[in-house]
Amino acid sequence: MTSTNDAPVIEARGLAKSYGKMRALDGVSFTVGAGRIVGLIGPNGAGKTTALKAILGLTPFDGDLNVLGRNPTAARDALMQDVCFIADVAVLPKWLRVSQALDYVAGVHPRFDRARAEGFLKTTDIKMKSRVRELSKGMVTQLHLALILAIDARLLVLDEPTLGLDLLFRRQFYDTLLNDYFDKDRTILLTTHQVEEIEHLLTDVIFIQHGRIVLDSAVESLGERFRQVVCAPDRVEHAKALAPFYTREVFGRTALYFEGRPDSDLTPLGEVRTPTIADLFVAKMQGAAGQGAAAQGATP
Amino acid sequence: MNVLPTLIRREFWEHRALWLAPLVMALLLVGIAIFGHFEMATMTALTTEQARAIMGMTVWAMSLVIFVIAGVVISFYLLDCLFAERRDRSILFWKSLPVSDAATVLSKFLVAVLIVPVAAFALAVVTDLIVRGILTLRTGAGLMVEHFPLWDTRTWLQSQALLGIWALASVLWYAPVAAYMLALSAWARRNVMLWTVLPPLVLALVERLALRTSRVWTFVAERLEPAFSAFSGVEAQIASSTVTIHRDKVISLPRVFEGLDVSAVFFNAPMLLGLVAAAALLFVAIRVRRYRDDN
Repeated sequence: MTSTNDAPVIEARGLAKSYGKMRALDGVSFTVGAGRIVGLIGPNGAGKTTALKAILGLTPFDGDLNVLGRNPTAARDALMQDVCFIADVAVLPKWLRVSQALDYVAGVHPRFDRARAEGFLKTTDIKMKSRVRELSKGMVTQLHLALILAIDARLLVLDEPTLGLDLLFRRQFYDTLLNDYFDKDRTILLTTHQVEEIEHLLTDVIFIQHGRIVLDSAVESLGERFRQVVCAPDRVEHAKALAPFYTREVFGRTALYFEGRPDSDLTPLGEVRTPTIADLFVAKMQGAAGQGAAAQGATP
Repeated sequence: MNVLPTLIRREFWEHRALWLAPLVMALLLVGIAIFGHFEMATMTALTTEQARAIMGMTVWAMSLVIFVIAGVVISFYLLDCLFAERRDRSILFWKSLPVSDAATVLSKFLVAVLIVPVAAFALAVVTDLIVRGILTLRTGAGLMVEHFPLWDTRTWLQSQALLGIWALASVLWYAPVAAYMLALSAWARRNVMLWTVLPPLVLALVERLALRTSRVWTFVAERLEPAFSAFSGVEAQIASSTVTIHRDKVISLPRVFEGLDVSAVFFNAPMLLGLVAAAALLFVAIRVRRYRDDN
């Protein structure tokens, strides 16, 4: 993965973690540079949340992990001054008032800018005296976002931050994140199921499946590595001979996914383009899950 | 940035019973003083010592009502505070901020063994003064007959001082119990109360069946015995500080205070061992909170 000249924000080597017999993380290694927006993408139970928990010092693990130059297990309390996270929408306690939330974070966080959080809250319908239990799910997320965005942190970790929100709130959430928060000194690591909605904002993607990394790439270099070809029926046999890693049929046309094939091989077969991250994700996951099913053209 | 005061304020936001319940009880006492009707057997010709003992009892009774309420809400608080944050999953929010597990657990312990007890003591003193003021006004206005002296500065100060020492001793005496509750609150996945009661009960039962002895039971009972268990170092002295009124022997608080060996209250083996146990159990609570919901 590309990064700036600075030391990496996260450096994981041989990260492993088991819950009983289940290997949640099976020797994962990756590096996240400063100023990147990294999507950690994988199916349910792939190990995403476990990886995030290890990074946040919330779980013991095997292997080497370095976050902002610190070991997240040994130096968790110091690390939390530079790291923020939203685990998911339900975690703000119901009894907390908005004003109390501001008082609390202002009281314990040395880098919290209260005026900034209040400014953001003024753009919403959230009232200072309201308790969290009186707010809608979307408003709770807005409140949480207001608190987080007002903290001058170097790494922001978001685990399914928009789960259960409607499209308007989701869009607004990511717009705020990009416009009001993100800059070259900050790093965002996030997981979500709604890949389509965030793919335009990611700089890097890490696909994870069964506790292993399936793909780790900068978004800008995906186009050089992965191509999607949509063929007419008479070209499919030709195309399949070039060993696509995944094939799928859409409306009578066949989309084939290739890795490391030059365009000169592919253009004669049909329409060539860079697959979207969502398409690539499905291709990678399905392709790995069953070559047989893929060869027959898995259902879209 | 005021980490500790913020952590302590947070506890009172969430657990409002901590301040509401003692306050309501104090208001109730004031209400009784204003509207209550008192009839007591006329006590004629009390000696000074008898009068002092009776006044000490009234100080004791009024404070005790508030202390008991405070004790009850503190117990429920201790059982709930580290459990509630896991039940509503807010623990991940608290953990997303730079507050250590040690600071969190210690702030809760401080609320239970320092802040609420001190506040309850202050509230009891103020309530006592208000109630005495009201009763004095009512007797002065002819609404009540004065059966016994409502006020004697020296007796009042001695009684309150003894209560202060007793409250402090109680807090230290019950500190290991508080830490034990915190540890279970951090550990139990459900039904904290059951988990708190079960281990000593099971141990006592097993001991009874296997060895036909009851050391565990005695140990627990001595620690939890209400009222004077915190004064285990000076039991003999308390027993001898009595005054006879009619045919009853009454413990005279002013007298207990005058003869009190304060160092014996605090420096005795059960008290000190209890504090060591409290420190160990707090350490356990901090460790347990760290990774408890990691599954």
